[in-house]
Amino acid sequence: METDCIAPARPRSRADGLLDWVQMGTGAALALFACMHMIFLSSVLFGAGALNGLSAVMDALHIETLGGIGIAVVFCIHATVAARKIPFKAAQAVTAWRHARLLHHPETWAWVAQVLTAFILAVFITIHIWTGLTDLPVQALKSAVRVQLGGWFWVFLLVLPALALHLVIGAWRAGVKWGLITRENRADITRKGLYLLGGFLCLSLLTLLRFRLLPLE
Amino acid sequence: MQRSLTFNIFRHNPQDPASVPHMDTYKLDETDSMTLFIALHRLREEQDPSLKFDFCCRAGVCGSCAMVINGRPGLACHTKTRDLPDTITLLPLPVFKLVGDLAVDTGTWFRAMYQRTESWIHTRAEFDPAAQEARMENEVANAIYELDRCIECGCCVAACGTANLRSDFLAPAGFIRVARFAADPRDQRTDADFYEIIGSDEGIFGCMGLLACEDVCPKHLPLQTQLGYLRRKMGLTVLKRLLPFGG
Repeated sequence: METDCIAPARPRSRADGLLDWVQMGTGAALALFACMHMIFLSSVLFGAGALNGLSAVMDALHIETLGGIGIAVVFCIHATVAARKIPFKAAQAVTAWRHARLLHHPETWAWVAQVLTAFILAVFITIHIWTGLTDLPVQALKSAVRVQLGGWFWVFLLVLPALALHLVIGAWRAGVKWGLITRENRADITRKGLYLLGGFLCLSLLTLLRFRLLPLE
Repeated sequence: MQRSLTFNIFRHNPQDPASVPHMDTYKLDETDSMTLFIALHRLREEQDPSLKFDFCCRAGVCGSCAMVINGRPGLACHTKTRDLPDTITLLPLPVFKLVGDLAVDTGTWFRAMYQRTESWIHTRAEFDPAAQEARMENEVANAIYELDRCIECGCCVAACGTANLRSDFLAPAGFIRVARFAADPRDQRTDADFYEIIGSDEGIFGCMGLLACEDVCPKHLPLQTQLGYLRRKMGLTVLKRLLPFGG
């Protein structure tokens, strides 16, 4: 894209500012939920009984059903609102790709990774939410069957790193946009973000492996 | 040991219908303390007088010699060849209109940006030519000066992902300009007034927080700090507008 002059702006409205808040708020809610969900599921590392016990308590309080529906709504809103920043047109996508390749800039590549993982998550998280909500309550054996016999092991091998990347990059960028990450603390927070990424990946892959090896009795 | 440098330089004359964009290769022996500015001058004087690039001050003050150096926007006069590998690729800055080869027209873009940001002091105070100039705390003056150091080289614009994708984006150079006037106590514009300028996806809400601008700015302007500051300011402004008494 080349221009001899910055194009005139359209008239102001509150919409863009509000949508920015919605995008960040729903993203933060989903990131928090993803971490809680992962910690909840990782209780299976202590045995199937631990996960089933937690699930029974949450089911009795209707947290799984109501929370699941709520998260599905938040997920849809976030995907819709955040999509307005994705370069969908072919020419824009090519420009963004060339720009990232030319610049050799880690944070610009991180944004490309966030866009690509968004597509993966949009497809598979939708399916995951549907299969989860139509088969409540969560139980270790049901999840193990899905992972071992339903082919979900390979899907999760793709989705879990995508989720971890999308979540950490999103949180980092929100921190930059709103001034929480400054010139002074940027390197330190980036390092902590990489630790978080590694921790999330380790926990999620260990949990997946546990479901893979859980006896189907 | 003296190196032989290979320069791959973008060539195109948009005024000539027969011109096809292509890369030309030149060889040049490196000398002590050689900058890209010196190298380009030697190439033009010794090998190809048709090579077009902008320059003026050769001291990192005028911002004319900005170009993409091995992928990164930067100033030719500020870049030592010893910091670069043997092969150097030079491209014109993207986003701006190409004049020819490595020369782009940043002036038109910046003028339009200044008009859009209304880059002047807005005050209702009546001017009294006989009165002494109003005094300002040194701390405030320094803060304004820090934001006023932009040399309009366009490196931040060229490195900005959003500016590369949409021509109506105000870009970091525009934001730091707004921040400069927001910091100036003589400017009587309110947050709501500034929202009319940058409160949109073409403005501060279009910033994706990739920080390439911060990383390439040759004057090390506090772009990251100001982007966060303006986003918070405009984000709170839009929330206030939702309140019945928020204005």
